[in-house]
Amino acid sequence: MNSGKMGAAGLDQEIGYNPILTATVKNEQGVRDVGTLSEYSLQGSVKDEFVEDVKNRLRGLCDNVECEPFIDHEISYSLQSSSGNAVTMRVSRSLAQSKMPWQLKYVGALETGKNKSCLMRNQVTVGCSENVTSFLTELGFRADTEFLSKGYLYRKGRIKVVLSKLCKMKEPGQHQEQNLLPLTKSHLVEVSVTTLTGGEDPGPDLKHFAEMLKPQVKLTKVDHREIQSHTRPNF
Amino acid sequence: MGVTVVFQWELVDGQTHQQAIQELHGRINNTGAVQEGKFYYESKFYQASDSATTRDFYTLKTSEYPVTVFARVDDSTKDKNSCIQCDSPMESLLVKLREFFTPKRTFEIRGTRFKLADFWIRPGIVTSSGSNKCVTIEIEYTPSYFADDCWPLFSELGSYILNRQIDDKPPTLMENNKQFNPGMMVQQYVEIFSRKATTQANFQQPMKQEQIQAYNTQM
Repeated sequence: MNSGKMGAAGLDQEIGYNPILTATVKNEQGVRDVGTLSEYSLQGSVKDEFVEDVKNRLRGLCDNVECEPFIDHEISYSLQSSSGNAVTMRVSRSLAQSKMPWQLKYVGALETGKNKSCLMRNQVTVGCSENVTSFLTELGFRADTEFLSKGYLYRKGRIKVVLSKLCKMKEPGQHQEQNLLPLTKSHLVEVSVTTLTGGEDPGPDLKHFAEMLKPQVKLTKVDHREIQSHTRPNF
Repeated sequence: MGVTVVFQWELVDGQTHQQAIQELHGRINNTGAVQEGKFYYESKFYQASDSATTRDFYTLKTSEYPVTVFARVDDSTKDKNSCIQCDSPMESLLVKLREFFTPKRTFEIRGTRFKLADFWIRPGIVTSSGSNKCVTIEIEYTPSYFADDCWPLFSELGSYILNRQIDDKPPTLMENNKQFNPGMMVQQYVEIFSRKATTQANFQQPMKQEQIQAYNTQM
């Protein structure tokens, strides 16, 4: 075999693989990333003693499949620049399905404009290996909060409905039942649709679904920044 | 995936990178390996804007794992397992962190992939900003996850291809029966990328002529 010829020919040929092109789409304004999705949501809560009513209601409203129980462990990490700007990343993993990859999630600022019918925030979710926590710590991120979300997932078409109880752990990393402390006396109810950024607004669909859940749950645009700025006991 | 070791080819006086790769192709062909397509690696170096509180890191994408992005902190500590494997949207996530980490340099490796029984051999030229930096040879032995077990095979094949005696022990990060993981491959590439051109030392001397002849007769 003539190695010289083969080598020269091999290097001149185009490989036909370019991960940058597969990961991004170029437009006139430059490179636009396609990994960013927009999550539209409405949120509400229900007292623990009325959860069964909500479950029954959701069973009737949602797709005719069994709801999916889940237990997710979530840790949020933040990084602050010298100019005072901060970025928050969330790391979550499923405790119910231990073989699922961990997730690294960026969640953008909440948009609650008056002309919007529901909450909107940009997000990028990436599946990753389990050492993501040590990677973030090495990079300079600091762990902020840690909690456990335990509940059920329902679906109606593209609408995702989450009925969950938020708990904190008595000791970090100890997520056994006896080490969990409920954060509130109520369950969180969240209906959401995730679409490509810039796509059609699914707000009317969510509003319609929220109407059907009344009066058991009142789903609204909850601006967390307002809640954080007001001291509310037992919240 | 099996044990993968990345070597750097030492250019002899006056040899260009293209000539080196042609010589390597010749040597690999002589072992009986057959050409099986192309390969491509792309690595980006992200520099931390505030070096006091944050660290630089590298990402690596490869045609061998097209929907995966590897990321590793720029750290010389070899025992640390700080290489993560992510899905391809990681690129979009890093765009969101541009204020804290900015992509400074891109390294690429392109080349032809060879197969020899259970071995994959990937010789390629490392380029950065349009200029050739060095020549690497990646050797992968697919049936094994433990470098200690298969190092005699690496030693034999690597010595012939590289035309020099290679270490009689696996690289430090794979020693002591450590199970191979893709992070080890990433670390080897990151070490090569971060190595300055002036520190191409620490290579052992090329084989003497009589050693090569003895080796060829064994083959």
